[in-house]
Amino acid sequence: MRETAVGNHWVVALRGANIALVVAASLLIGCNNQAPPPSSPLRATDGKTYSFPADLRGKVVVTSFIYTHCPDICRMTIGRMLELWERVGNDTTIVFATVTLDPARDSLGALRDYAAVWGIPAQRWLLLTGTTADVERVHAAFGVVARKSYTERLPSGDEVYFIDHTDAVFLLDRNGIIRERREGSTLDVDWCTHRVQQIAKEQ
Amino acid sequence: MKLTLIGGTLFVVFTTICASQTVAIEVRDGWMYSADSGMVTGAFMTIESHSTVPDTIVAVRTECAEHTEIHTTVRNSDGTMGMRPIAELIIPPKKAVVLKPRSLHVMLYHLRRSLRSGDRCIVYLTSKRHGDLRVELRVRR
Repeated sequence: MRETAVGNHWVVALRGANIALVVAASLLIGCNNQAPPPSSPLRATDGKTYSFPADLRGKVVVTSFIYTHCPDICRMTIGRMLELWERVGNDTTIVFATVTLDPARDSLGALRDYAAVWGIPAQRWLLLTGTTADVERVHAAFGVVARKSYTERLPSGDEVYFIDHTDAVFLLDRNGIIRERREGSTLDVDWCTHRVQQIAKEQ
Repeated sequence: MKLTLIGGTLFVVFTTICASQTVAIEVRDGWMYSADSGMVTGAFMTIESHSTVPDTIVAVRTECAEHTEIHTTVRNSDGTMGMRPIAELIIPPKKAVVLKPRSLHVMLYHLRRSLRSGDRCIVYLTSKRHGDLRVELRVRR
């Protein structure tokens, strides 16, 4: 019992720290901060581990956040990302990075299956996952919130849960600085194409 | 002769009743996102009432998925987006209710087979007044 209580204090403390990080990151992004977001190790669908986003410096990084059990918002975001990819994907100075909002279920295998369903290219489009702690640190660094909402028990006895989450995509310049943050599911692809190309032209 | 006439009349009455039931609630433009076997996905459609009385969709079922529900997408006060199940969907008289992304949708849990672009899936909506309403969903990416 006591251990549980102590454990709960830690959970509360960690949650508090995460919320503080999210708030701080949001403020910094809002203030057009010139420092890159802090990085954490994430595993990618290309089989490599990246200190994300630091290891992608030198490239313009179109960063999105999804989870594979998400039937609506994330599908729209991925749809927008695919449209954007069709327009700028042949520019080798640009990479796409899609980070899971649900590290518990989104293994590398799940992300690879998702990429196959959606026709996400294997080259220069990384789908990223990792330990819960590392993924949450990346969320916090981008001011992204993801929290379990409700759980559905299916007739088979299986439980399926959903996640309330931030709907956002980010454009990072070659120095790893977040230059733009926009709603992902309603992204104006024309605007984003222009903006990505603009940022890619900067030295 | 007499029997033929009665039979014909009954046929006309029967088909008229069936036709009126069919058009009272029209379900059309059904589509769903592609997904792998075992995954969840969303389906969308337009449910239009041609009736003068309100109706309610009380259940959804399909052979394509283990479990099916009607959901709505919500925006929380902190800006996060999420989904919530709804028990019933009211179809007002002479109105169309559109199930579309970022809004109302049918949730298909644990697909029984992979559904890819170009595939089809039949869904039945149960209307309180009109029973099962069939809609064919086109699968798209």
